[in-house]
Amino acid sequence: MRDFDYAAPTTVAEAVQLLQSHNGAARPMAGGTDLIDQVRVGRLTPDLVVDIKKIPELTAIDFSTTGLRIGAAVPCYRLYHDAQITAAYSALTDSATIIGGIQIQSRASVGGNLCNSGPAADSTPSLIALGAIVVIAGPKGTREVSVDTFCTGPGKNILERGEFVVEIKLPARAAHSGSAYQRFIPRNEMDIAVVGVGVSVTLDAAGQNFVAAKIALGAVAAKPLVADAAAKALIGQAVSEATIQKAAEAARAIATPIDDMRGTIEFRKHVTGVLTARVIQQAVERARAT
Amino acid sequence: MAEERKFGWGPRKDNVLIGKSIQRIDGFEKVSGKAQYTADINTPGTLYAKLLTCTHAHAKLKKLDVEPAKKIPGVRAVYIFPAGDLKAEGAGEIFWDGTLIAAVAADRPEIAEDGVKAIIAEYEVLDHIVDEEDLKAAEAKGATKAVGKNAKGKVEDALKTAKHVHKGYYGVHTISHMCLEPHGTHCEWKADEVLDIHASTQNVSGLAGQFAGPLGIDAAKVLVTANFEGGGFGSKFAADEWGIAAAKMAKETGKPVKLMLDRATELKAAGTRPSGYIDVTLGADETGKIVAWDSHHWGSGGISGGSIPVGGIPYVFDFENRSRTATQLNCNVGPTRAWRAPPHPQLCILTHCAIDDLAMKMGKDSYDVFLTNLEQTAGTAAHLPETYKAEMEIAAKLIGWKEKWHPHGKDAGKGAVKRGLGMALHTWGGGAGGCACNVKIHADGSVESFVGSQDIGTGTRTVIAITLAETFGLPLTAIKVNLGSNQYPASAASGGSITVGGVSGAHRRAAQTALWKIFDLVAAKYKVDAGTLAAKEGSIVSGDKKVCTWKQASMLLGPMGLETKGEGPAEDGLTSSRVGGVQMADVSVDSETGIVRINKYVAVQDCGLIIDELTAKSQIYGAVIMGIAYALSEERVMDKKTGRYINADLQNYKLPRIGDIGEIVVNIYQPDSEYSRGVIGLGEPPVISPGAAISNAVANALGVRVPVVPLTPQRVLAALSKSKGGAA
Amino acid sequence: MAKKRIVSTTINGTQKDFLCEPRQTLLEVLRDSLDMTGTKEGCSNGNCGACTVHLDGRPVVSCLVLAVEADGATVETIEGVACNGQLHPLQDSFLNNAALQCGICTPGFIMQAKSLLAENPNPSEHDIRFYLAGNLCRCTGYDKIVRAVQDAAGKMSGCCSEAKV
Repeated sequence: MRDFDYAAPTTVAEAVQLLQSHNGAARPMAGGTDLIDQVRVGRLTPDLVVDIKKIPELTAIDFSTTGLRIGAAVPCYRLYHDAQITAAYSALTDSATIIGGIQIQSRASVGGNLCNSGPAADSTPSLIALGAIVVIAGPKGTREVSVDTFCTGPGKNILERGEFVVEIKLPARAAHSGSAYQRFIPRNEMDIAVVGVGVSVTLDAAGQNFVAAKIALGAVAAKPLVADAAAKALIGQAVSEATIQKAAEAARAIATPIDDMRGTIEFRKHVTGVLTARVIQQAVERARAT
Repeated sequence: MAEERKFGWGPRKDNVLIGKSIQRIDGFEKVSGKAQYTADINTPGTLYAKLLTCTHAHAKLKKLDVEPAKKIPGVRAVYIFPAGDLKAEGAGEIFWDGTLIAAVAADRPEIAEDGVKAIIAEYEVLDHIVDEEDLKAAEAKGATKAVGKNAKGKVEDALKTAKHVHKGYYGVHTISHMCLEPHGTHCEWKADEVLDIHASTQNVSGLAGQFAGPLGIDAAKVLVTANFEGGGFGSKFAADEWGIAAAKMAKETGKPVKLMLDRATELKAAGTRPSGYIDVTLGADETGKIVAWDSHHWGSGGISGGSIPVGGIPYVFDFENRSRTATQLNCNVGPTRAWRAPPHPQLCILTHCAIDDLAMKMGKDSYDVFLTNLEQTAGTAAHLPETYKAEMEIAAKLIGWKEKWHPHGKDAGKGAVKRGLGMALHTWGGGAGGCACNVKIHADGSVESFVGSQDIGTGTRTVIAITLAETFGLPLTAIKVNLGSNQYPASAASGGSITVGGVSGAHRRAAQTALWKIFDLVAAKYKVDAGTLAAKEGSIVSGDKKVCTWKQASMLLGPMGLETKGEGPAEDGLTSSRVGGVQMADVSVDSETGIVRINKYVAVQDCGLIIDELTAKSQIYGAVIMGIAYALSEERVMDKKTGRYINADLQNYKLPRIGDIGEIVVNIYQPDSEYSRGVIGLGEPPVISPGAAISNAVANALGVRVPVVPLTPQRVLAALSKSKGGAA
Repeated sequence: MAKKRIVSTTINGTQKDFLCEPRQTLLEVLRDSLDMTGTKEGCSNGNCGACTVHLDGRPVVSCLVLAVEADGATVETIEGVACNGQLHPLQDSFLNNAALQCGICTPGFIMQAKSLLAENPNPSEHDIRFYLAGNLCRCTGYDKIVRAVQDAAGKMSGCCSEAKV
């Protein structure tokens, strides 16, 4: 691995200061599971690695009636070990359960997964479906942005020099809502998503009609996609195979995957449709079970 | 008495250890982290070496400047491989991604990496060809070579008159050996120009000469040690150019040098199994008997050969009228090495998928078609038809073939997930390899053996200990097995499943020879008939009567004890060769996503006399899972545009994980007739059938053949789409 | 070159201080500096699990941990699993079930399985296959590894190394 220096600040202010140093060659590190590998293969060339795990608020979780706040460095396992979070924000814990294997989940964080900004990141479609807000600290103070606009391309996002994500905020869940994330991979575990789909739905009290929906797709474009047309195909409609198929078709239509070793364009578009229908179905079942 | 003293195994019913399930004796070291593999050798002052490889498929090296690496503090030596040596005549042309250019040895691994990065290498990129499947494109580029054609009978006539004719295309892509412990050596020069090597090798006794030649020293000055090693699968027989590099850098620096391949280089440069594709037409009469076979197969083993030869097709079977042709594609891909049962897995896929499709065309049960044609395996070995028949019956019962079978594509289930059954058969030699050993009985009764063989994870140590303990009537703990050093009597490399036969035969001979001497001494001392003596439960007995303890008998050997030599192989019935095996798969295929899951996989295997059922079964389980790997997910992916091996890492080189394999049932076919054949090697045969058996099961589930293995979701969906008239 | 750091850790119950560069991984320090080679290197990118150790009680792949991060942490490696020369029930059941061949993946599997049983003393077969998905075996003993972990689950009580961290 290339030579770099290491710092482990204990406050956000200190971290911001460190990240401004080294002419832009300072990188924040949470779990390190992406960063260390990327430094090793030479994709990242930091001169300074800033370990943000020692900052108390970065590893805090706060679940309340107003929503969920997750420190950016909270490792995945802490999310799915929490029964309340698993019940309310199922899509997110679905994601947290399948980011790498258990060993990776001991360290990898949702914040890191988001900031790595890989198009196939497993937690980003879930964050989009659940309406997450990203809290960013930087030299000019703190700002909040919708997760929908956070990623801008493969490995690219809106963070500016000196900025880093400190927290992810998720709004409280409406009654009769359910969410789910699934990805399509050739093996059962530990593959990069060929297609990923995150869905959140809210049904009426009878569980028969879609009241609200949000759908996001991963791995089928240069960045995670917000599938508004697919969600619109559900909202106000009866829960039925036909409705779900319409939404799946709308999702399929916006997918613009590339041909690579994970699959051809045609294959990945096809799977987008199949998977979207399956994930909507799962979200509906969860909404009905609440 | 002497005429009765013939080498042989005892009656099966009398065995205390042989044939039982016994833990491996080196297990403690392996589960506790104490086992030292080559990568674990860290003698004081050891330097770490890292490699610079060329990542172009075809290029001319224009410039190589290693001086910047040499200037880095902590870098101790830079070695230039032949491909990077611009001073050598005709040098500088690179033919595949992964070619070794230079190595850097340094105080710390990361400094060696800094050194590698500092080297300046400039290339002129040349035209390449990496598509091993596209015969026409290769022909157009002049990158093919005919490697053989032969025929017998009247193929054209037989196809004309055949009741059922099927024309098909099948294939299997290239895979890498992917040993979890990569190839590598730790080289240290000792006093008197002695080179002390720890190597991850399948060839302890054969390595010294391979180092001695290039280094210009005597083979007698090379010590080779391999106590533990992390898999070889046919790829670890040679000193290899990286081994020579380590030895030379150790010489130059006067320090030990450890050079283990990095994961990418291990996948690219340390061995692959060649691809194979086939166009075949075959015909059967009204009974389902195959009467004609006409095929052309091709594939690539790299730039200079190594593709699948013409012989061996059709696999196991041979037909009265048969024509076969083979072509080699000279692609810009890494070279091949023997991969577990070469090249049977490919032959099995190329043959048995075609037979299964013929069954589909005839509307017959695949089981019946294989059964009808078993007689046509007799050319491979006369006993095979009977063995296969018996094994097919067992396998069919274990998987529930009769209850579960439906004609191809006729799963009555309504959902997207379809179920299917498939089968295949295989054969392998597995005769005993050359082996010499010494068995030493100390005056205190302790027993020690010495052999220049190796335990590549297969259980060689355990097999030797069981053989000796059984022969001497002692517990396993009384035996100390020494192997993994070329200072012990020479033994063949572990390839071709010849090790268990080789070491068990030789050690039995050495042990029986020793025992007879002890019997003579005991007979003289205790005034009993030596011909009545046996060694049992730590004693020498005559019939039911205990004559003396093993210790008392050993004391008769005097202070020097006794050392006997065992050799082999020999035609004395201790070992034999030629096994069959039948495997069946029950799969589910999601026709919407193309995902194939194994519900149940049955392997029935004969292997003569079994020394340790536990390690024997381990081999079968392991082979089956390795087979599931190349059947479903594992392949080398070459990027046609750049010519690069783009999945040379363990994220993208897709081995199955522990949740991907389904239920596996292993059954060893071992009637007394098998026991009396003696020991036959087992490591390779069970890895042969999975590709064909699983492909056939998928074809049965869908009614559509997915022609090329591995059966990735995308290939499954493409085959389904093509069958419905869509684009492939 | 970045300055070397002094890192203080507790490894297998013993206080250990070492000097390392920030760019060195925990795996490299264990194997090369501390001569604890029981932890194996398989892929160096977190995909094979051969280098699994426990860091503050959680299973991690040590190839994706910087050694400096271990400052103040407790580390458990395969060398610490057997207690007083006696094998842990998991180690015993790996032997009994022939759940190993070449043995390179074995330390990682045992560390990961140990963590599973600490979290879930009665795992289902599915639980085992899911929890061990990050560990690759090439030989391959998957089927027997599942049996070994099931077997060990029943025998875990009373082992001194099971004292929770």
